[in-house]
Amino acid sequence: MFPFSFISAGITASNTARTQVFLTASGITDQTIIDALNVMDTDLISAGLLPAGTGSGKIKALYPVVGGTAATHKFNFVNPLDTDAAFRLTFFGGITHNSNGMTGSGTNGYANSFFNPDGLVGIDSFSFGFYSRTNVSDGSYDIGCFSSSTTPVNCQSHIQARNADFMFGAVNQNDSAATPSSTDSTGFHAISRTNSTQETRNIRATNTTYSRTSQAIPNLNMFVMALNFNDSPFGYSLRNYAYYYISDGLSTTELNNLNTLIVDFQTTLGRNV
Amino acid sequence: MKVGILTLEQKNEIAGQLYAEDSYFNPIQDVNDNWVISTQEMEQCVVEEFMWVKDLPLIDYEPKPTPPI
Repeated sequence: MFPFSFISAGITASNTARTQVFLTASGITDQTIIDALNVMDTDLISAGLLPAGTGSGKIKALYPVVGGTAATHKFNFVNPLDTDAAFRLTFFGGITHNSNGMTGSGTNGYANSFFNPDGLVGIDSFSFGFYSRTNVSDGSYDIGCFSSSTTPVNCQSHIQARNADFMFGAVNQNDSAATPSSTDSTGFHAISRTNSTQETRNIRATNTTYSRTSQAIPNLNMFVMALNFNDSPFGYSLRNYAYYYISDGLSTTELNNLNTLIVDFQTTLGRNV
Repeated sequence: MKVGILTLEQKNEIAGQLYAEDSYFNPIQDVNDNWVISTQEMEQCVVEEFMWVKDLPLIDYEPKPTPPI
């Protein structure tokens, strides 16, 4: 399964190049996590979401949320430098970190990804999502940003996995559509735009596509576990998260492939739900 | 849900400061304009100069009303 899997000097199995850079940065040595990262990277390459070797591709930021601490959860797998420019997460407020990922307090916990979609993705090519381990219906936000001062006003890109038993979301829109119905906020949730007229939401590998015309790209950093509302956190989540990604627009097939490899990743780590 | 209540001076002292590795305090105001922090920040604080947060009085968290967005 590993592209470079072999036994070197009789004892050492090699890692993918991207995994090795991530391990060097994060200091993670747990072999189960390492094996899971190697398979994940290989699967991402096979799916065309990342290039072979190192660096980013369609996926610009990917947080596998492994290692059990803020110091390991912060790293972007595709560019694991400890800098804002590399989209390293910075944590604020109450967050619990452990082997199951990171859990917001629901009062004041969130992270700044420093990923500002304005200039980093196209108005008609943007996707983001996460893997949640908590089923709760509330008004919190899982990821996103919202600017009420742009033209058109209320420019927004975000996800609410389950609010009043609907998934709310937007990609470069000026409103938030309550579709599809959602009575379970666990597992993979994602939203994607690959053209100017449609958005696709994916909940645990079920795609639903709607007519939604792109409006503008919010000029704000994407927050996770809350919404960046005009440069302030809003709608703090209390869900437990075990994965986040931010990317160019992904097709329905790519979203399903991403769901599959993330579920496999969580299963290997014993934290799938 | 409980939160720790801060005086204005205490809020100013910890705002923007680390309470543990890679984790910053985020004092917020509740519906009564009390400055508060989460119990997670209180429990996980390992910075010597801020260990007093572990002894903050606890109150029930009452969030500000959601602004229309």
